[in-house]
Amino acid sequence: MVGIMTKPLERTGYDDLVVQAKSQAAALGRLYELYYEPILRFCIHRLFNRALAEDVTSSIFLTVARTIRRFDGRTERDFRAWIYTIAANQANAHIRKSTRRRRLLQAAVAPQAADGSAPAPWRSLDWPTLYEAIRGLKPEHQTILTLRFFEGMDYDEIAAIVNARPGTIRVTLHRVLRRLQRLLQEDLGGDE
Amino acid sequence: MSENEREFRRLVNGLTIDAKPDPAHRQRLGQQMLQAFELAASSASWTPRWAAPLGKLSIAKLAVAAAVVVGAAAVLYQLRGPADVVAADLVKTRQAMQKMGWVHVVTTRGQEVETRWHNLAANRVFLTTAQGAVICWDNGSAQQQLVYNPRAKTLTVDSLPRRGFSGSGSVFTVLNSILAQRQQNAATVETYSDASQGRKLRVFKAEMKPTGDAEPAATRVVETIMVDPETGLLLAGSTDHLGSGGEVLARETFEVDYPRTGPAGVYDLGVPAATRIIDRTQQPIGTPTDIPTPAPTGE
Repeated sequence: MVGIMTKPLERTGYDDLVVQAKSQAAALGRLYELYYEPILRFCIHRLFNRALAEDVTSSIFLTVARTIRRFDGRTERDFRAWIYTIAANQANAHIRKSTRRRRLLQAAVAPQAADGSAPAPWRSLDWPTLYEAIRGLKPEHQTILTLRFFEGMDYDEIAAIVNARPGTIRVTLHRVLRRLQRLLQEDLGGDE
Repeated sequence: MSENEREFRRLVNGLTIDAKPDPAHRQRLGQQMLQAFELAASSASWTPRWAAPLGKLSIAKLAVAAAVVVGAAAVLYQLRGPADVVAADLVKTRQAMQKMGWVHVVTTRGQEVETRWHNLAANRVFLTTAQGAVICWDNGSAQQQLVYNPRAKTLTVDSLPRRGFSGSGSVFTVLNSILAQRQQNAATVETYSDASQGRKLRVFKAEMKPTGDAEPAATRVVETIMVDPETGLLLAGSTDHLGSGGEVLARETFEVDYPRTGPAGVYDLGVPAATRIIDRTQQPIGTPTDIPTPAPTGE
């Protein structure tokens, strides 16, 4: 089985690329190559549907292309925080306005049942169940959860993206996980 | 990391979802992004922040302006290839449609519904309206226009109208319009994938200047067309006429399919066989009513 957890992007030496990308298409193209896959993956984990995720990914990179000249940052870390902020905002905006999300969700995850190897006590948990539970969270909390567990970011990075303090992220995440546990137990018919 | 987090991490590690990128989307988006970058550069009116204090000096202003222009030109030159990708795709769609014998288009404007059959080989178009009117523009061998009036129950045969493009090629008007404005850098075009009824679509969304047939108060027109990514054929689309505040002044939608055959004549579209025919093509030029008469002198 392919694990879904991914390590944070540990790259250095791309700061120059970020500066050059404001005026040079070739540099922007290299940034695109570096970030296409992580951003698409983030969108898939936020929207639960590949076609939608591709559309939102397109929208994110087109926004980057149009506005990078006005981007203030000078390091790759700045760029990373900026593009994930755009991604989180666009994914959340899409979720808020989408009335079809439930149907899309069911259609998207239906064929992707877990293989039953999840550790106890969640042995019967699968993607549809988990996503249903995640859907019960606020979009902002979904973003934090996705950045932490699917993108493998630390508190500082998440804080930069959602414009909050790292300590707040830690506390929020703790509460979100407890809420998610409750939702999952309800879904699985367990007792709290 | 708290125990709570570790537990959740173990949980999601035990699950899997396909997040593998689609190379076609990756490549297409890369091209679109560079195109958007180019468009932003070509319309750039920004001044670098470092140049702001120098802005009071006219020479400095000129230097900054020159740098921006040169930079934009360089980017435009460098990205000429990606810029043409959208245009090339639209041309491919036009070529794919041209290979089809018939193009059937149903257009809806508010309560009005029009249906057209374009016979590309014969250069002939049939149009029917919800009220029962039938029109045929034969730009091929016959070079005439037939109009069936369901109220008068007459079929008028006339010469082709001098104004307006009524040939079978009018089915390409939307594509040609986008291409023409794109050529003049007057249209921004975004493309993305979508799906409808289990069918994959490629969508082109073009924001353009209003053309002659747009709503009078429209300041922008947004053409959205949906293309089958496999065949390249146009499948559906919409036209939004937008006012200065972004409000939709008028909207029309259309759906396209490609039947093997179509109507052979107006009688196939419901015109009764016994309809009275008025043949204006036989009328001699300069009838008595057209002859100017001298004004009375009062003598």
